[in-house]
Amino acid sequence: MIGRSRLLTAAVIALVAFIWLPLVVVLVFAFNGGSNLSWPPHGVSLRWFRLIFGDEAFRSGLKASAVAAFSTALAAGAVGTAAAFAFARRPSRLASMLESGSRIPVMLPPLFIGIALVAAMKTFAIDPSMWTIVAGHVIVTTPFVILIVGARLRNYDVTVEQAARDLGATPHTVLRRITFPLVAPSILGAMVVAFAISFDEVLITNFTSGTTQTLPLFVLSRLHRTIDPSVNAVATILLLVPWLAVAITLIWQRTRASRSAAAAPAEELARAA
Amino acid sequence: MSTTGAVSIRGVSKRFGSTLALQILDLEIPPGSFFSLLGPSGCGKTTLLKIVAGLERPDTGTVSADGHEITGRPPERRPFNMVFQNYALFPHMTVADNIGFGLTTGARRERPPDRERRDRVGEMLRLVRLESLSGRYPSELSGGQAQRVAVARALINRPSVLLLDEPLSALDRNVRFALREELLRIHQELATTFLFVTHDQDEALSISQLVGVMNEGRLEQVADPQAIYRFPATLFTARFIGAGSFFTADVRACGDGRADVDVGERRFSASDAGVAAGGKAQVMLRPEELETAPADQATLSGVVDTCSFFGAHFEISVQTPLGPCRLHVREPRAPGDSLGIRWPDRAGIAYPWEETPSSMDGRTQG
Repeated sequence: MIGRSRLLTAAVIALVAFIWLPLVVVLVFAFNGGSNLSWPPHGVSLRWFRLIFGDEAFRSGLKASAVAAFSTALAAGAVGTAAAFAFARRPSRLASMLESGSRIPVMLPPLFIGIALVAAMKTFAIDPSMWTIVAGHVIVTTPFVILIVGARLRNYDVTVEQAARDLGATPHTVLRRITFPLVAPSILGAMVVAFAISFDEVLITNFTSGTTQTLPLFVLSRLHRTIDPSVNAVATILLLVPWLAVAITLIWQRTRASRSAAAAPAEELARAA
Repeated sequence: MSTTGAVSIRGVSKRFGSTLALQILDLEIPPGSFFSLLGPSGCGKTTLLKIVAGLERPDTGTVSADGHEITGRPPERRPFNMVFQNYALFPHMTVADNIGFGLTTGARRERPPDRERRDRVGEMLRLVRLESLSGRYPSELSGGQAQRVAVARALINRPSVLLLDEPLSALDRNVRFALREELLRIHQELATTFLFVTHDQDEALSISQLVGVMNEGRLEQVADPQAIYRFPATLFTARFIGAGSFFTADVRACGDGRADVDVGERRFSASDAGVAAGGKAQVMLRPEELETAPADQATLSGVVDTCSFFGAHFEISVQTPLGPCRLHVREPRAPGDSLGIRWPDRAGIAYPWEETPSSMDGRTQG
C-alpha cells in the first residue's frame, strides 16, 4: 500500500509540475536580469517591466484591455443577470429553450464567432472599434453570468421572500432589500469572471479590434518578430490582473460570508475561475 | 380572552392541477385561541394555512378576519403574520434587524421612529428570551434560537393571528419540547390567536385549545384535545390519533348513542359513531382501556407479540383470536407469553366499517 501511495504522490507531483512549469518559467524570466532566455537566469531585476511600461504601445494596449474588460463585465453582468432572473423566475417552455440557446456561445469555436462578427460588421457597415471588441466579449461572457447567477437563484430559499411579503414588504421592496442583497455576491462574482475572460481574450478580439490593440494583441504582434524577453513581463501582467481581481473578490466574499452565510457564491466563483 | 383574532373560513376549496387539495371546507377559529390543524402530510393543512395567510388564493369561498372579508387581500395587507417551518430568516440581517423588519416596510409616514423601533425590537427579544443575541446573524444561531427569532419577527407587528407552519418539526426533540412550552407561554402572555399547523399529534394535543383533524382536504373533526383523543368522531381520527386496538364487529342494535356489537362470539356495548343495525363496524379501544386479567375473568386471551417501554408504562401488542390489540401494562411481558385480557363494560367506540388503508396506522404518524 505504501508503495502504491508513493507512486501516486510522484504521479501527482509530476502532473502539477507539468502544468505549472511553463508558468514558473514565464514568471522567473519576467524578473530576469540577463537579456536572453537561457537557463539559468542572471540575477533579479525589473528591467523588463521598466522597458514595457516605457513603451507607448504597451501602455495603450493595457488601457484598451482594461476598458474592454470593465465594459464587458458591466454589460454582461447587466444582461446576464436580467436573463438569469427571467429564466429562473418565469419558467416556461420558451424560457427553457432560450436558456439552452444562451449557452451556445460557449460551445461555438471562438474563431467561428470572430468570422461571424466580421461578416456581420461588413454587412451592416459597422467599423471596428472598442464597441465591437466589447460586443464580441459580451457574447462569450454572458453565458457564464447567466450560469452563475442562475445557479444562485435556483438554490435560493424563496420562503425568505414570502416571509418579507408577509411582514408587509411590497414586491419591489422584497427585490431591493432581500433578493438583491442575497444575489449580489454572485452577480459580482460573475462580473469578475467576465472581466477575467475578456482581459485576455485574443481570438475574437483579433477580428473585431480594427486599429485598437489590446494587451493580448500587443503580445502577439511582439512574438511575430522575435522572442523578446519583455513578453514575459507582459504575460506576467496578463496572468496577475485577472487573478488579483478574482482573489480580491474571494477575500471580500469570505469575510462577508463568514458572518452572513453567503459562502455559496464564493465557491462558485472559485470553481468558475 | 381577546376580542380580535377571529378567523372564519367559509366554503373554501383549492385545486392544484388535477389534485383537489381542499374540498369545500368551513372552519371557525375563535379569537384568542390556540388552534391546531393536524393531519398527515398532503392532507391540505398547509394549503389551508397559506390561504389564510394570503400566500395562496382559494378557488371558491371566503376568508374573514373579525367579520371583514379578506379573501382577495395580499399577505402584506392582512393582520396576520407567519412563522415558517424552515425559519426563513433573512441571512444578511442581524437578529435585531430580522425582528425589526416588519416595522420598516410600511409607507414612510406610518413607520415608527427609530427609537420606538428599537424599543419594540427589545421588547420582542425579551419576549423570546434572546436579548443577548441581537447582533448575531442567522447562521450563528441554533435551530431553536432561529425559530424564536422567527416568532419574534412575526409578532412585532402585533398581528391579530399568528400563523405557524410546522414551526417545530425541524428541531431536535428536547429543543422541540422546550419551544412548545415557550409558545404556550407566549400565547398566554399575548392572547393573540395562534393557528398552528402540525403533523405531530402529541404537539397538537399537548398545547392546543382546539384541534382540527384534516384528511384528504377535509376536516374530519374540530374539538378540544381531550374530545379528539377520547371520542374521535371518525375512523380516520381514531386511527390517526394515539394508538388503539381495532376489532371487526357485527352491529346487532343501536340507539341512544350506544351500539350493541358482536365481536367474535361475544357481545359488547360500545359508543355509536354512526353505525347501522345489521351492518359491519370497527370497534376501537384505547390501550389504557384494556386490562390484563386472570384466565377465569378474561374476556379475551392471546399471546404477547412485542413489548415496548414508554417510561411510565409498557405497551404490549397481543395476538388474539379476534385480531391484534394493544394495551398498557406496568410490568414488562416477554414475547410468547400467554395473557388474559378483560374488555371493560361499555368501553370502545363503534365506527362504520371501512377498508383499512395502509397509510392510516396511527403508530407510524407520530
